[in-house]
Amino acid sequence: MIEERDGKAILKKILPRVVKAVLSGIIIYLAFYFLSSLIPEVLFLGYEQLIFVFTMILIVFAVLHELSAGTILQYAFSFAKALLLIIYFVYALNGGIITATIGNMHFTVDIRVFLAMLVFVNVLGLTKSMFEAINFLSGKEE
Amino acid sequence: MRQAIRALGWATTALWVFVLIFMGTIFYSLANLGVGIGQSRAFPSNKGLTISLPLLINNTGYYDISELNLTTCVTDCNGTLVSASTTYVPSISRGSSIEQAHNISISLNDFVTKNLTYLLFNDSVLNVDTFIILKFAQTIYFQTSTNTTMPWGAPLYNFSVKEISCNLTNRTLTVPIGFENHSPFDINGTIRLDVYNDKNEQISYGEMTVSATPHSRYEEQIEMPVNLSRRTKSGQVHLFIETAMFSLGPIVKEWVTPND
Repeated sequence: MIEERDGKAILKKILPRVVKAVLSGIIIYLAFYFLSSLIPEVLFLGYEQLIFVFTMILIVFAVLHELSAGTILQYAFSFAKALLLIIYFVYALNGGIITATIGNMHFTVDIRVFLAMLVFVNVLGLTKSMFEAINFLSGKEE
Repeated sequence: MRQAIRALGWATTALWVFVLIFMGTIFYSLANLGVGIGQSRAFPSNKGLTISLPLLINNTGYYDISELNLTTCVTDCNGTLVSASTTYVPSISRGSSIEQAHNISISLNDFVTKNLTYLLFNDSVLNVDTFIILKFAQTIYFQTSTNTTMPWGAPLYNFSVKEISCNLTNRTLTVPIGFENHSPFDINGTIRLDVYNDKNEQISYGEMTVSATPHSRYEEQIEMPVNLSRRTKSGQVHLFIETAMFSLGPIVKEWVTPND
């Protein structure tokens, strides 16, 4: 009887989180689907897989963030997400120098300033997660 | 601590919004950027040949284009630089368009100084490497390069000194000269000839004016007084070609007279 009541309580606690997690995943997916349809396809040539990986990182971490809400893991996942995104951006943007060849035309785009912006935003996110984790732990101590 | 976290949260959100808007507008601006290179036009100049490429840029995006640099390098089949031309546009502000001619000058006198004289006598294919470098939105450097080829028509194609004949009564040498002008420009100038015997002693001297229209065959003969006492059956003729575009010489050709 007690076990059944505990199970219901856990389900009551978990279910909204799962629904929220699924919803955030769907929203992110739909947002990317909508955005990619707005941008000309030619700009994505050869980058479809990397964009898919980026979407997956956001969806997975959004789900994990929702599922671990209210625990220290939430901040650990935020930290991991920011770190992973920094690595991802540096890798996906080839360190800020992108080269491509179409026919006998060679293109080189230097977007190091833009990459620096993305890294900086994620470093801010990383710092925020650390502060939040410290704050969370100090709140528990009190 | 809470204040710091809140400030960091706001800063992160604001920066993400800024980056996303920046990225979106950059994509939009690039998609709406009109870049075109018009029909090239080749015309003769006082140095040789000038190829004019009209460059059209219509910047309908949100950001300025700056430091636009269009460079064209023309090389021969061995990779020797024939000509390098650069067009620089400091800025194309948003909402404006430019139309500028990029001129590639090929100087025939450079052929002589760069040891490319074979291009004056032989048709060939020249490689044209084009580089475009520009800065977009003051942050993104964009570089593109392409290579094409263009046919080269020699102005003195198949230049030859035919059989030299000697008129003993008039004491003159007759030297027939011929070539085909495969280039798109007129060849106007003079050809000077110094004729030597097999002991390398000058036996005759003469000068003739040359005028050859584009894509035409030139054939003329020059009669020159000869020192018969020094005449031998063979020798060399040294040719010096002087035109407004180039000076060339000596071109050394061997000659042999038939038995007379």
